[in-house]
Amino acid sequence: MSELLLDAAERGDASAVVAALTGMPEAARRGAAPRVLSAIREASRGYGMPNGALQLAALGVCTLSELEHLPRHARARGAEAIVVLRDRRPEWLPRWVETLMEDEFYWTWFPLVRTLVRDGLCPRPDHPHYPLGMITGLRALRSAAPNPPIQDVLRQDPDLLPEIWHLFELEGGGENSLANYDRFSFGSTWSEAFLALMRDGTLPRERLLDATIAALGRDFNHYRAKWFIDFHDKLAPTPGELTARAAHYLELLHRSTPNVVAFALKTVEKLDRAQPLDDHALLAGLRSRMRSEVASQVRSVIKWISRVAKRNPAVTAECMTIVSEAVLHEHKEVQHDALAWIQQQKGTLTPAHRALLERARGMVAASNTELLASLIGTASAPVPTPIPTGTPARHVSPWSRLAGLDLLDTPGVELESLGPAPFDGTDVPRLHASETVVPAEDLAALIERCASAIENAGDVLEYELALDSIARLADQRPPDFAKRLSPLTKRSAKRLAARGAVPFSGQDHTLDLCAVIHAWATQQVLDPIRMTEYERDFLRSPLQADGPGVPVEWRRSVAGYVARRALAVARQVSTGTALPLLSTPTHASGLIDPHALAVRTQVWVAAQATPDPHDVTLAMLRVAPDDRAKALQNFPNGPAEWVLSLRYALGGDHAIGESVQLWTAAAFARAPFATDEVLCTHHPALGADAGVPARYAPQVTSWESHGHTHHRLRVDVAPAPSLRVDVLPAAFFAEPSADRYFTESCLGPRSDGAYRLAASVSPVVADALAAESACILGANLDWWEAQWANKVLLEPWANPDLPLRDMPRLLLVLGLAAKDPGEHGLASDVAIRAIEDGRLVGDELGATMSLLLPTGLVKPARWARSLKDVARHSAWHTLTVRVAIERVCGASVGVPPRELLELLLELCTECGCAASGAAVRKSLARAGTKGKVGATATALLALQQRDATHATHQAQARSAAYEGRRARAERWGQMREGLS
Amino acid sequence: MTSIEHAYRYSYPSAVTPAEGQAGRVELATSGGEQASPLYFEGQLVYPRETADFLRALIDVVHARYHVPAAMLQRILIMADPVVTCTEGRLRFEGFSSCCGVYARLDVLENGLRGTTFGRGTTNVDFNPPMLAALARVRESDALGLSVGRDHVAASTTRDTVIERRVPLPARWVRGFGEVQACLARMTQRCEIPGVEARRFLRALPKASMHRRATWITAAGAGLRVSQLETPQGVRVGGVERLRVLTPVIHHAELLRVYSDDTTGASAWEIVATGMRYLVAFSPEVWRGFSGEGQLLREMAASDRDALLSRVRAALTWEWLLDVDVLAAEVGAPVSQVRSALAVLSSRGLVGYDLAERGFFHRVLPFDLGQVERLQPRLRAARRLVAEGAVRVEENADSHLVGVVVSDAVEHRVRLSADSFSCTCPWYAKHRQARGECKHVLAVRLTLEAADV
Repeated sequence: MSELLLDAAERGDASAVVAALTGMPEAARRGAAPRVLSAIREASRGYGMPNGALQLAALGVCTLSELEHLPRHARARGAEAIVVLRDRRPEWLPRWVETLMEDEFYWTWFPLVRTLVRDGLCPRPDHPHYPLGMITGLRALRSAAPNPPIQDVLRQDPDLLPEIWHLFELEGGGENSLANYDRFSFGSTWSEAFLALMRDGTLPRERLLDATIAALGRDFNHYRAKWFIDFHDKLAPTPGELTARAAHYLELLHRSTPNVVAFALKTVEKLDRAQPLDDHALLAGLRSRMRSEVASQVRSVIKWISRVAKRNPAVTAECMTIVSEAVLHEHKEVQHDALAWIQQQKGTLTPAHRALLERARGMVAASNTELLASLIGTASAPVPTPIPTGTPARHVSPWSRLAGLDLLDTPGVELESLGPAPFDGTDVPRLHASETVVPAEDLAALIERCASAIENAGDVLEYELALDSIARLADQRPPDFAKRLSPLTKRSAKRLAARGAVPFSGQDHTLDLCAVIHAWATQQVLDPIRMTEYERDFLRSPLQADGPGVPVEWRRSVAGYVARRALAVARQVSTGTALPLLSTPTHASGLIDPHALAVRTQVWVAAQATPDPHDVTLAMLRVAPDDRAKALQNFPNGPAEWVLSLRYALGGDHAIGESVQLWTAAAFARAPFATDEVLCTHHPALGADAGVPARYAPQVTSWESHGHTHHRLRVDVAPAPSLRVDVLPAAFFAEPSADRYFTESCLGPRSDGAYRLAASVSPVVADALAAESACILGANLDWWEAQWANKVLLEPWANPDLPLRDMPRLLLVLGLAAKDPGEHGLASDVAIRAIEDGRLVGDELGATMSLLLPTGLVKPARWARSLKDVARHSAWHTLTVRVAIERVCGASVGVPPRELLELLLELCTECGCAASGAAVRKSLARAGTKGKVGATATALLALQQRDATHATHQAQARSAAYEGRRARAERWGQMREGLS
Repeated sequence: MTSIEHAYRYSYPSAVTPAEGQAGRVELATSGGEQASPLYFEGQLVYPRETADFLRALIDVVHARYHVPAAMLQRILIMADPVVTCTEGRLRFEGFSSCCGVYARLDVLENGLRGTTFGRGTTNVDFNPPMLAALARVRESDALGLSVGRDHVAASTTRDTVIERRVPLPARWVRGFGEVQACLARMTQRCEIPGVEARRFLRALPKASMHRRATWITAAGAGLRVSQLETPQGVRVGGVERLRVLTPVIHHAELLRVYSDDTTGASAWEIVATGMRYLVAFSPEVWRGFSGEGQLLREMAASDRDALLSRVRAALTWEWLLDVDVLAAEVGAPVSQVRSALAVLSSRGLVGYDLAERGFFHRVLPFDLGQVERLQPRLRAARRLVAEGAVRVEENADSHLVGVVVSDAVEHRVRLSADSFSCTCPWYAKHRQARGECKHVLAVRLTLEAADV
């Protein structure tokens, strides 16, 4: 008998399976079970699915436990399943039904379960998914006619009618809910079915209406609640029905679902206008709306409350209490409406109300402070810290000029026109003793460091130190070398075996590290193999003969440049040669102490070896400006060109040699902002940052497509960049790919690690990095693609020793306009820091914003949001942002954006000053007087300077500006003296 | 997924029942504890609206799942009910999210309750949807009673339906519920802001999901702001959108206190309101539950703690707050060892930690926690390594010890010193000491203990 069953199941003959199972004894079923289960497992391999006959066989022979462990696609359903179960009548059927109701797609089992219940084979499952399954599962019961209306199916199965009331109690979710079904199903909908059943008297109208209102009170998700709101409207309750349920509508005001509350407000207002409701009950409901995030809703409630107070003066005190809560609302319009109404009732202000309003002191928008003060009086302003007079502290004095402290003391210079700290990054100390890194000294530390670098791709300093450790300790091969290295070699082998992994191609620096470990352990260097496919050149790993490759252009990126240095390390360690990397940072900031570089160079000279030029050039770009002259005295003076070029980078005078790669980097490291005439004579026309400092010109191009205007930022560089890939500063200007399809940027792949690695290449002067970063960020301002790594591009600029010249400022201003909270949040953080330490001033910030505003690339509302956050930080930040917006308004050809004007109004009010400057006032006048822009512009024009407030604010701002710059000067002083 | 089957059995469904006049009563059905359905408290809520709002917020946390692993084809939404501990006229309601990453506790203090305590203990309480909907309708002016459990005589005369539910509680969920207490005990307060500022801060949180971003919350004036830059004073929050669970109740806040654990990066946010405190603790990342922190593995692996644990456990008598000095004197052990023992007991669900009062409190989670340690994957793997003889000590100096563990044909070297440990495995390389010890370190420790080194 079981042979028959198995044959039929394997043939896929469902009828034969049913026939074989009919009357089969339980012992025979159990005997067949192992083979049926085995057949199901075989059929389920990969993406396979057992046929229906096999599913039926399983239902006929398996125990409950076996069935529960089957994949859901191996569970039988349909009419034959009913026949099998009817014949078998297992005692576990109710528990099997419970299991089906627990399924993720429980509604697909509703027809089966419903039939079992209807036929009396099992009791109705006490599970919320049973009635909910009806929503989508009912359609499968409509077997009599194709696509019959839901109401007809329900009429044919009247026992289901009581179940429908559960649909008003249970929310459903995902694909299965009344809202989802009615929105996406074709033909009949549930709302039509309910209405049809109501019209023919099957369902009582009163109960439907009550159930709908009750459902709205269950805090369903807004999407699913919307169905009940719509259904309520379709029921079209009469005024009498509405009035009878007034208490229920009032209750809905306490709900948290926004559209339910909006619906309740509308209905209750209608009821209240028709016949005033009980004031206390109404106010209790309205009170809960004071915390709504929707400003328009709160404003309309305030108006409503004022009407209640007018018609019943006895509740005015209660109304005042409620409206006082709105003063704490984050929208200034709400605050204003609340304060204005309270002011009208000023005579009835009690101490309790005053206490409530007192909480709002310092919380309301600046434009509402006067209104609040008129109610509860003015608080005494905090006294600003006086600026110290006399000689600055010992550590501060030498750096006063570069920190911009002197500017604050310049007679006649107003805070509004204060310039930034005039340092360029090469003229100040950069090495902080606390940032010194500790290199690995033995094999154990090396293994730990390498393991950490492989697992934490975002930590590029760890990568640099790991690479350096292997290079320095490559000759350490104790007898148990292989065993000790085994955790690393195993991990590296796994990474290198990953499909598509190509080391030394610029794909991933941790992969390069794995390949260096591989070279050290096996003496095999995995130099990528070049191949051509589809007329394009690719690189692939020697370990993956038929694996996919990566475009050869990746090597032209900055990441590719660093990868070639790793390849050189791999070649070195494969021979067991232990020599230090020249370019390993000595400080966490990514910089190299010039004295340490001298020591490393001495080791190479002593070994009579020549380092890889990628390593030498990287070392030049990373060497700190600190104490170069003294380091030069201890520097080897060998005849080798690489030694001479290093000396030249540190300021030594040597004749320019033949290697363009070495001398270009040396000239840049020596004086990044000056033209090197000697180099230009020797190697002319190399391009930007190769003897001639780069000049940047941002351009925004716009085009229309499918009704949308698209914008793209491009930064043109002059002189035209050299396309030679082995010239390091020029790598930042290289076009990585002809069609920019394979790589979007010359920095490398889009990852935190790659971007951080690119930022570590030139930590002293990073304008080229900023220019490329601005292009990357600018291409995704609206977050049309999830580019999580882009935020990393802003990270370097939190460093107080990197000045914010044109390109970094462009990047910052773009960041402030980014949609992604990570990007605009970090840009705000950088702006706060930069204003504090004197790198950013309002005039320059405004100038950069003015450059971008007319292009349409940025949304001014996002600037307003970010700048509001920045301005909150201190009085100096407020003043800086105010000046920036004034500059934008002054430079604006048309009407300035409303959001910026609104922020300007708040800031001017806070500063106690009028909108200053003829250009600004002219631009405000252009806004007219109509609309929100006009009203704001008019308010700005009407602002008068309030001398006391202005003086206090100026003093606070000056104090904050002074403190930030003094702290910077002191820090530099301590760094120079090595005190920290 | 390893799970522990837990059965809830309520004699009746919890409900907000109307009483004579306008007053109603929150009747919470209980399940488990020292009795099947114990009665712990009967009385009045002094702040009914606030209590109702906080209870709803706690249930929001219980029902929340902030992370569903990509590989999880079927969402296993466990509906584990909150637990309540009744002690000395005060109540602590505790709940834990399905994703094991958010813990919430509402402490209703003496001035928030008026009534009679019938016993001390911890039990599950039923929070069904109709009851939650009724709680939402509670107003300030309502006089509202509260009962935790029902008098057995009264219960036997009613004809309520008995509610039975069997829930497979994932082992990691039960572990996490315990381990979060040990995490709280390590936290320090970072800032305290007025309720008004807290409300403004929460309203200004980014609307977009930030679970991929590490975010720091820093002080800004009298309030807080979200920062993307790490600062020494900042509190790191992974998945800052999770803070929105505080929004529905923040208007009740008089103060908001923020705590953080520097070791793991977890944080706790405490709303102080009149008559109650509401604490929500967040795991370091959205995808990282408290169960995986493993900070107590070392203590769990130690075999010499059993006697002390038994003594400490025997000395617990449902105190609202444990005095560690008194406890140490009582059990005759140093304070540091008693603290360590309490941390282990917290992972077994036997004590909780009150951040506001900086002390442990006694409560017994009504789950079968005997299996928790057995189900700890790292500890299990470490014991297997020891059993296989894969561990040997290579160097035993005064300052440090080096052990070698052979695992998967690779030799991992473990270095132990008085206050630190390291291993050459990828797990240690990735997490360092932030997630406790790896299986290799634990295996070496177990071997050393066995050899009494």
